[in-house]
Amino acid sequence: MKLSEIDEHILRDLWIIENEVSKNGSSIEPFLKEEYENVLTELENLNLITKAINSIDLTSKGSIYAKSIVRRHRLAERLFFDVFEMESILIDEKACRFEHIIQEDLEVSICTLLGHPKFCPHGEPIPEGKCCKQSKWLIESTVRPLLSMKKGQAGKVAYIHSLNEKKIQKLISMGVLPGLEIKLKQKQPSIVFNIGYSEFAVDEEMAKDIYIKVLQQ
Amino acid sequence: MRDERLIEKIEMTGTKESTTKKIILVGQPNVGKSVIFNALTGNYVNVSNYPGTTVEVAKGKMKTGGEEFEIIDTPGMYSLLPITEEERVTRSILFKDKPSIVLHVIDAKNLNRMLGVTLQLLEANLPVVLVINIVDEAERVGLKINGEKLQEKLGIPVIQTVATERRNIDPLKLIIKQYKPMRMHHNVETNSNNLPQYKEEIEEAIDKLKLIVNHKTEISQRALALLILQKDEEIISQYEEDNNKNTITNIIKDLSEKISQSLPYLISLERQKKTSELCEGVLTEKKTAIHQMKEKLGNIMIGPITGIPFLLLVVFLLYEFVGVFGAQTLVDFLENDIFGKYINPAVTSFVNNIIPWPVIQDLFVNDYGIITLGIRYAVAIILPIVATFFIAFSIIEDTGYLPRLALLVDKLFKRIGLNGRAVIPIVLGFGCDTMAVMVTRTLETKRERIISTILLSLAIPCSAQMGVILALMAGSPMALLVWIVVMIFIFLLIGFLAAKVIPGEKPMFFMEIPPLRMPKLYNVFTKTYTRVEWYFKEILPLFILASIFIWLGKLTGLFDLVIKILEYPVQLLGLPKESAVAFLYGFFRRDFGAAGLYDLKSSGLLEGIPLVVAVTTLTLFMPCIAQLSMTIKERGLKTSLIMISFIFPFAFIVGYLLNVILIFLGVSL
Repeated sequence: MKLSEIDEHILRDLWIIENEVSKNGSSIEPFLKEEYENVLTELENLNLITKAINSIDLTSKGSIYAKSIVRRHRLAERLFFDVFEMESILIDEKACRFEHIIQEDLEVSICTLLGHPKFCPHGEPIPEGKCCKQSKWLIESTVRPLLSMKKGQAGKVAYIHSLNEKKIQKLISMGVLPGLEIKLKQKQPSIVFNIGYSEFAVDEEMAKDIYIKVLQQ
Repeated sequence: MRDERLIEKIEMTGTKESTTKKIILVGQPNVGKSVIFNALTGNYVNVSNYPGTTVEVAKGKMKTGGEEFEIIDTPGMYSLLPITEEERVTRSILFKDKPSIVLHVIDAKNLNRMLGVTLQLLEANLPVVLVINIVDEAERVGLKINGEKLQEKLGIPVIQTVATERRNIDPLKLIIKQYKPMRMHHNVETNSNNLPQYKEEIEEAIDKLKLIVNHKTEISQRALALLILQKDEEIISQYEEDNNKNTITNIIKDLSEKISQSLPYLISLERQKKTSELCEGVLTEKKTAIHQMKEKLGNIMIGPITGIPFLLLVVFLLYEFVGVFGAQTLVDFLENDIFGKYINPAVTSFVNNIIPWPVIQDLFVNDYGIITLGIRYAVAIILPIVATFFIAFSIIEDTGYLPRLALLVDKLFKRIGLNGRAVIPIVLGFGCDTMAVMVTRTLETKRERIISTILLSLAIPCSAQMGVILALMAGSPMALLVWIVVMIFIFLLIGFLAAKVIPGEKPMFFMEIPPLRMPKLYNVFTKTYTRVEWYFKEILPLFILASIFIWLGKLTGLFDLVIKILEYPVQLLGLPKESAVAFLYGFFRRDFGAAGLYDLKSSGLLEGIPLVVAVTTLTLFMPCIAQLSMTIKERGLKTSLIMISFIFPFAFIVGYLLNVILIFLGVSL
């Protein structure tokens, strides 16, 4: 099954509305307009959505399909942001195009290259793929958690992501901020790294949210 | 650029304010604020090579060119958005004290990382002078900073110093003297292009908040708005009363719907961007070989395999210096030669000659006299031990070993509800538990502060006491071993149980590891001197007071009564009844009590199992009255009372059990 970009965008937005946006936030209203009617009918025929007068719902098949588009979109954003270091304003638009041409094997490669990220640069969660469950930090992972690096390896901070604001504040206060060079000095008995000309020791709890773009292998 | 900004926004505060100008030193931990404070004021506050030495705000006076300034040294601060208690203290001083100048001290090596705080201070409209300190270390790694260029870019005075060598301290004084007493108008928008601009959505929220944060302080509305957006509860609570709570909550909620990332993170990213721009053309790096030796030594100290042997080596050296040289050689010399042969006989015969009444004689000399007991304990037994310990401790802390020790023990400390950071108060406790309880302030959670206070009160003998104990057990290494094993066991057991019982959030460990530094003789000397002086002033009156109490007690018969009562539990522990006296002293100070045991041992009344039992029980007591009052001050009366009612019975129970077990096992010591 090959859908058009428009189809995929609708599915993606529907999925986000159903799964992430709070009920009183975005609504499906725009899609109820006439211009979408043909597309929606087509999607309904493909058994991806069900339509009623004032509602559009994803079928289970459609939900799976839509989720994978969301995943590819956010992975693409991560790729542009971490590897190509594009400005964050630009990446959404670029990702909208890119998401349609990523096929499954490429998706796995990108996800691995990025170290199976859990969140997109805007902080939205990336739906988990099969490859994430195995969670192997392959040698070709360019972006990976600090904890998966080897002793002596160096890189640049790609991003930090945590839901714990206090922890983020502490990491910031140490200067763990994207773009700064970081070198893992040792992992036992505590994690020690150099950032700039300073040296810090942290426990695993602090270190696990730091993601690094590895510079040399 | 600088002039535009200043002239536009400055309002002269006029010449009316003739009071002493306040100068506040701020900066991240371990950048040398206290060294600068000492250099400017000529006072002495404690300086160490570990973050967080300054837990109290120090104030001093500086005179330059006929003008007097008040200098305030503050605890380290990583950001205006506080995480720890000390950061909160520092910020409230900054926000409320209306400083004439804020000296922002940063470490030259980490210019890029530390300028972020400079930007925050400028955002808040504070009158900042940037002091780039420790330039020598930066030079050694091949960093060069163009101060003039940075000054131009930031629009504030910038100076590079090496405070430990007094390099550029006089020019700094000149800057302070010539700094114009100016204050920017708090109402003015800070949109100067040397300060960061944030995302559109954030800027919009700032503009909305500005309508609420009114003119309560000199701090800019922009800085306050930023703190509110980052959910700073302290600042938010200041504006709640005016029915603004909902508006604030809505603005924050609104923004968090638009931006799903953490706001402190986004804001820091923008500041970091600005900082990198500032560093461009200011900072030049020339890779030089790092100090091989130091690097290797540092690695040995923290390596998973080499770390523990190195620690044992340090402990061994410490024992040789304090336990053998201080507690045996020096004590022996002062106690037996100086006091035993000269002072005591001389003073005793002198007093007995001029004072005919034995009652008064007893006040000064004989068994419990002020001079023969109080002063002798303090000078002959306690002083050499404390002095040698603090010499060793000062050397250790100035090298930068303690933070390395912290990372080494973090995992173990997590088990007892603490984190590696707590190693600093705990190790300091071996010097003086009172100081250590004060330093627990640097721990992040209330839970950690309570647990570490319990452990300090219970299981960490201070140097004076430990020295006496080491001397007591000098002849029997087995007894010493039993005591050490029991103390470690109790430390871990109580820590473990406390961690289970006391609720609160689990600690996280992060610590800056400062470079290894060669201790400066002068600093080691001054530090030891001030500590010993502090200590002595603390204990000498107590010792004398104790002598007087005992004299009074004996005179009234009260002393004998208490001793009689104490004899029961003491004998229950299998101890000779004479040791009741030592336990009575122990309620005053643990080391005083231990010194009492020392006398018993000298007269051959105490050895073997009873000696170990007595020493262990006494070690578990609350350390001393000073420590008790510090605990009440820091932890509150209720918590302290709970601790006391646990500690004393617990000490006796442990002593009892130890006696029973040792006898049962048939251990001969």
